[in-house]
Amino acid sequence: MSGRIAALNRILVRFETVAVGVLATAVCMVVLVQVLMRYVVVLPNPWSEEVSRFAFLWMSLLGASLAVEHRAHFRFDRVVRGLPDAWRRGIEGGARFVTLGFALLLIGAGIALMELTWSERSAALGLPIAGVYAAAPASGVFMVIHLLAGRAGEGGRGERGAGSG
Amino acid sequence: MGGVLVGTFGGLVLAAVPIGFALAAAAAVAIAAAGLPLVLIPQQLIAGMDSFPMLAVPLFLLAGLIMDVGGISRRLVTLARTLVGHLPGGLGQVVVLAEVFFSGVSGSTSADAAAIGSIMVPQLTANGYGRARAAAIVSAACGMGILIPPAIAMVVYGVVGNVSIGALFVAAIPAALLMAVALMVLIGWQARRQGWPAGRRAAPGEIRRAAVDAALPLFLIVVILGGIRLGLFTPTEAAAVAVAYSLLLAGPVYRSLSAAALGRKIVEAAVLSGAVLFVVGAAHLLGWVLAVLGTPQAFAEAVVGLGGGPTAFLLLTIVVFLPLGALLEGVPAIVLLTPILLPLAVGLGIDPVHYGVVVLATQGISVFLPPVGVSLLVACSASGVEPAAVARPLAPYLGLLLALTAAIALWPGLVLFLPRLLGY
Repeated sequence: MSGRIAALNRILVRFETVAVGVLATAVCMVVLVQVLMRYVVVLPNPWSEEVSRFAFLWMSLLGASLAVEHRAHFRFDRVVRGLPDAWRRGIEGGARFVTLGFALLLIGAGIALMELTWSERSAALGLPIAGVYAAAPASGVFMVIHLLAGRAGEGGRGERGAGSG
Repeated sequence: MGGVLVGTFGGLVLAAVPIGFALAAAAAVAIAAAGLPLVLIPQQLIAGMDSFPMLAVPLFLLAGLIMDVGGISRRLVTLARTLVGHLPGGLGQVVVLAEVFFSGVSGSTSADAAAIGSIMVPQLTANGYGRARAAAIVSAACGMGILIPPAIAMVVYGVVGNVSIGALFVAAIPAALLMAVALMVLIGWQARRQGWPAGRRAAPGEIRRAAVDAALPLFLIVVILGGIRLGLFTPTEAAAVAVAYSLLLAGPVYRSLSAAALGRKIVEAAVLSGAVLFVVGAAHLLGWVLAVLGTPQAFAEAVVGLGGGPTAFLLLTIVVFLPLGALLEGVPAIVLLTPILLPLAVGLGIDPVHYGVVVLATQGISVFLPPVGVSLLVACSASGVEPAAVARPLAPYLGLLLALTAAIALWPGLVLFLPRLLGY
């Protein structure tokens, strides 16, 4: 059972890694093309803002699920690390349970949101809005698998992150 | 209800639930308790991220990561050394000036702390500075560096508060330079008293060579600020141009970036952005729930009830943001509090750009506040010391930065003259 989840997790991590890489590249290229087109072709282009924004949202949500696997989410574990081992493990298990609970909520509520917005289209390109919202349940599914596969919830480094300055 | 929510969130954070998940879980509990539809959760989470200016976050992060592998941080440190290495406390001075340069090509305080720390801490310790002292100097310099554009926190404040990001970028520069000079003076004074060594004075030829080496990386900040000011591109487009520029430097010009390394950096930027934006979305979600529950109004009334004019309000802002930034990391504090506090500030006649610089300067200090500031921990791990040991040497630097932040709060002209001069 756990071996299968670990194998599934490896495949998903590879998929997400490629996906966020492609999406991030796409965001950058589309924004650059937007600048170039303004000066070279001097044509309004209604699509670039929407395409780059949608790619960015998917990149961010898949980046967030991959950050669960990489333990890159900001967390504050000073207090927990100072506790006796048994306490620490108990609280960390609880913290993992909260994270898992929210990921499950993201799946359920995300699918409900997609159903609710099924017929809505984006302003410029007429893309289905549900396709953008689909990033939420997708991210939730990846988070759940990463958490179940185990590496993500275990004690260890913690308290790191990108910083925002 | 608002108090229960804040309590839930605080408890989850203390139990080491990742901050974004703690924000989102607290909001979810409130939504369920209030009987609101759960679809609001993903909808508001995404709404908090969904804005074109926010795209600047991953792009500036990526540009900074590429610049770092490109050996560019080393060139900037070399230039700083030739310029100020001979002053009293030479290497300490180099850290501050190198951070002024490096922060101009990087968007993230923690990235600065890691990059500058990994180069400078070994040199500082080899020259008789203690490890704790080295970590303290790097932390102080990077705390100032949040005010050097571009910065992720400025982008987030600009988006959330609907304030011109271009104006924020230029407004923060004089404040940053004031802090840098003050830090250098303090380090020089300490060096004389403690007998820290000064380096030898660089020959004019060395300075020229170092300047030529660093010219192309430093030109990026001119491209970003100039391009935005001249209306050639928006901040988001400037960030994409910064990525292209850094690729050009690290690739064809310096030949220090392989395709595989580039791939890793792109994924790293996407994951870091995912972590930052998840927090932004979750903070937006919680802020939205609190607004529905009327908590901000109650909070605002309490703040207004305290009385006092703009000055008291700005000082109160510093007092509120300081502990929150230390506990939460800068971005969520900005996303949660800006929509509540900025309208009050504007109502008191405070310029939103001035307010933003005060908030950001406070943020820069708070993320290095011992014992828990996120960026302090990065600086400490780069130096191999415990955060507790850094508290004492760091205190005078942070005290100085805090005093200057208060001065900036009292003296709007310092931050507003440059954007006004440039016509923002």
